[in-house]
Amino acid sequence: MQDRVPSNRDDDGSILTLDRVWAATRPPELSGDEFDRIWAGIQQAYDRPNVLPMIVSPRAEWSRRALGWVPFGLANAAAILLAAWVLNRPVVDLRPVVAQQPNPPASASTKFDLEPYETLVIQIDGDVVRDRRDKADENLSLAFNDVPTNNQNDALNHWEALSND
Amino acid sequence: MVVVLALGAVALSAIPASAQEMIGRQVTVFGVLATPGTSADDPKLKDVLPQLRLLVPGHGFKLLKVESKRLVSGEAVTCILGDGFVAASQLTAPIDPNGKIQMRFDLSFDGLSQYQTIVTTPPNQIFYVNRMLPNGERLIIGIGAR
Repeated sequence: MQDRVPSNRDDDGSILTLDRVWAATRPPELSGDEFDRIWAGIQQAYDRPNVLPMIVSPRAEWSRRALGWVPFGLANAAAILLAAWVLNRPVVDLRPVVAQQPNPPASASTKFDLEPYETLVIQIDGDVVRDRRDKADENLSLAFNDVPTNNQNDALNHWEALSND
Repeated sequence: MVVVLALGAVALSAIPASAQEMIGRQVTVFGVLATPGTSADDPKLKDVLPQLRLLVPGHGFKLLKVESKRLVSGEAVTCILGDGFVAASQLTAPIDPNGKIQMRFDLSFDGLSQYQTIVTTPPNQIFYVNRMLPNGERLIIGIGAR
């Protein structure tokens, strides 16, 4: 029986075919100088990467400026809205209810001729106007009897003094 | 007595109208807020509280404003009481044949006249306007002249 001799050739010859393909297509061996040149280029690119400069176009510049005006415009709009609201807000009458009289009583053209020591009280209750006249010497209801009307120390003096405060 | 009064009336009626117009009168208008159910009173009113209490019993009183001016015929004193109320008294006749003073009173609210009247009164007599307010308080206005 004859031993098989080791061979780089298969029965179908595939290895040889691969060897031939590799020999025909393999890149040429780099020389040392060539390798150093390429490597130096890589090193340089790593140290100083090329950055594309950002060229601002006039339109982009306008947009940037316009963007800067946006907050200013918004602030103005807010101020205008606030002012409009303040001017047109529903008025809440904070005055005491005492002053809020939607239906004032109608004016009355009346005349009174008072006698000495007579006190007149005109009472206005809504639309109703009534007058009450009291003679101090007949009805002491207003107590003007104890303040003589012709005395300089009368109530009118007191009120005049208060007006000077 | 009657003769004296009659002579006085004749004398006053003899005063020319132009001279009457020059006669001055001290006219006083005041406003007080009367609040029911309280005894809190403005200390400034202590001297007139008895009168105010008889005028409006069971109320506490707060002075709003007093105005007093010397006026001649046609002039007016205005008392701004606050909260839109203004009381004014115009001297229309400083002295009539009976020695009385005639005034036109006007109470307005927010610029609109609410009540007007003409009162002829002897000097040193106060007359009052007592106006009810919606919340039950009362606005007491006093007018006097001498």
